[in-house]
Amino acid sequence: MFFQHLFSGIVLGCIYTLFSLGLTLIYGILGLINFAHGELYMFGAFLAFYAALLFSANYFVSTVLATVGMVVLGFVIEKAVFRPLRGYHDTNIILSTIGLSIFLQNVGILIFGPDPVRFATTFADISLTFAGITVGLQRLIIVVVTVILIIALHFFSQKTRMGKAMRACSQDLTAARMMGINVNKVTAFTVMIGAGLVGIGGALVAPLYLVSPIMGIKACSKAFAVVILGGLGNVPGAIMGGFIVGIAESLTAGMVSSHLRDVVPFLVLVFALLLKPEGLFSKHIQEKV
Amino acid sequence: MLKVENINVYYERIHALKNLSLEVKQGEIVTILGANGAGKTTTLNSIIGVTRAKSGKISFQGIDITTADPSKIVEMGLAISPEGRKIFPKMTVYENLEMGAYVLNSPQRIHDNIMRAFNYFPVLRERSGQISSTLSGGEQQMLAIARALMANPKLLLLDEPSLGLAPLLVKDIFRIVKEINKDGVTVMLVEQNAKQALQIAHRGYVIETGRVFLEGSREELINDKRIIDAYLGGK
Ligand SMILES: Nc1ncnc2c1ncn2[C@@H]1O[C@H](COP(=O)(O)OP(=O)(O)OP(=O)(O)O)[C@@H](O)[C@H]1O
Ligand SMILES: [Mg+2]
Repeated sequence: MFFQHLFSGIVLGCIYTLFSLGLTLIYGILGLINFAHGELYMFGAFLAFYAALLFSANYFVSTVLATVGMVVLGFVIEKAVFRPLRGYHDTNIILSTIGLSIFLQNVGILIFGPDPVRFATTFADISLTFAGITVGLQRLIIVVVTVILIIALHFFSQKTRMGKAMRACSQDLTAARMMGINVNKVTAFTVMIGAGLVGIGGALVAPLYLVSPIMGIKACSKAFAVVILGGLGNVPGAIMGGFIVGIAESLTAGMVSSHLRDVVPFLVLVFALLLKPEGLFSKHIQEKV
Repeated sequence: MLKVENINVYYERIHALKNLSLEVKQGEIVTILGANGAGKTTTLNSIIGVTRAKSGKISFQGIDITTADPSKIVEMGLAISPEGRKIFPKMTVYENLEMGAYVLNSPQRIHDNIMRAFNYFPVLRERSGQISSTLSGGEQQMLAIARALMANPKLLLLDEPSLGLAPLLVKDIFRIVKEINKDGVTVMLVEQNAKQALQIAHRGYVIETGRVFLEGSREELINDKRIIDAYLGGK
């Protein structure tokens, strides 16, 4: 039983991670908390659903199409919403991204309808059993894809020019500008990557749960717990935080009581903040005089 | 080479630069002296484009850069070692240097420039894989200057490179700045350490509360009674 719940927790951790990576990347570089991130998740799920429906594409193709769509949506949102907000007071920015969240929810209701839909794929019901653990094929796909994306993101940020520029911007935006780094380009790229990742997350869970215009709300509040746990702007922290919260939630729900499921992320967060308010995985960098 | 004409810069309501004008000619080391809060950093930041002048004009090699994006300005051949060094703390020394060369596209040139930076500052070669926040203050300063050199600047802006360094290291840094200048890079050197700065500069400006208060050649400044009293500690 324990390993069964552990596996569910890892799957959940993958989803939280894909969700939180974008949140934390965007915060790290744009300095803003994107309250509309849940709606990007929802759009990812719907885009995959409709790509499969309209083009009768198979699941992989529709996930890729959804991802491309999300990257484009990220580009548009950065240009139309985030960029004009630059330089404004935090309160204005928070209110604006909350506004964006409400707007996108309603766009979702308008385009996709208010009722939840079921995304049936040919293999959602297939599961494998080994060593007494039942592993749904879709869940296995989630784990594999997430691991691949984490490795790809790591490679991108360590080895490529744009990835390094993103890290530079998150460490010292003014210095990055002084070096001639095109901050507009980096910012656009960051939002596109963040939207792409959370969109893939949405597309990956779509075959497992009902897809609805309000599916992003709960996911988003849990993801906040994850990124704060990991330290806002901290990428490894978001990954660790995602898995800690996912596993803790699954184990508690499975071994203690399923009523506690939604409480766990916030309990973990509260304890973590009591112990280490700057986030579990933040190292304070000492300034040298 | 660089011409700053009557610029006015504001921070909210603070009028930081008031009709400030100055000029740097090719090949020179020009120092900018002034007390705390005089507007030296604001001047350099306005030139590199991260702070904006509300009026006036800044031109580099005859081209107006007053409202140009910093990325364009760096591409044109300006680079800065900023106040407080502003190195990227979680990046290695090598990666910091790469970021300095962001506007260059050729890996070969980037590599050559890193080798050149290591020649100016051999200690950085030994530290090349080290995370920059763990460098000593002096090493961080060298990194900041080396990083600014990475973009092949024609004009190098240095904002208080001697701040917080031991006297021996200050001497070292100034010697290297002079060497860099001999190798063909024009230098604009903001300093509080007037004595050292005037030893290597060809000309200088003194800024007080956002205005040019004095300007002159090295000899004129060294022998000016006001400079001696206020900046060279009397004699
Ligand atoms: N970001 C800012 N916001 C508000 N005021 C600022 C800002 N930066 C500088 N100032 C003000 O502008 C004036 C000029 O500051 P600046 O940093 O250019 O001085 P400085 O000559 O470089 O001083 P120091 O030698 O201490 O570095 C000062 O009065 C300072 O308080
Ligand atoms: Mg200053």
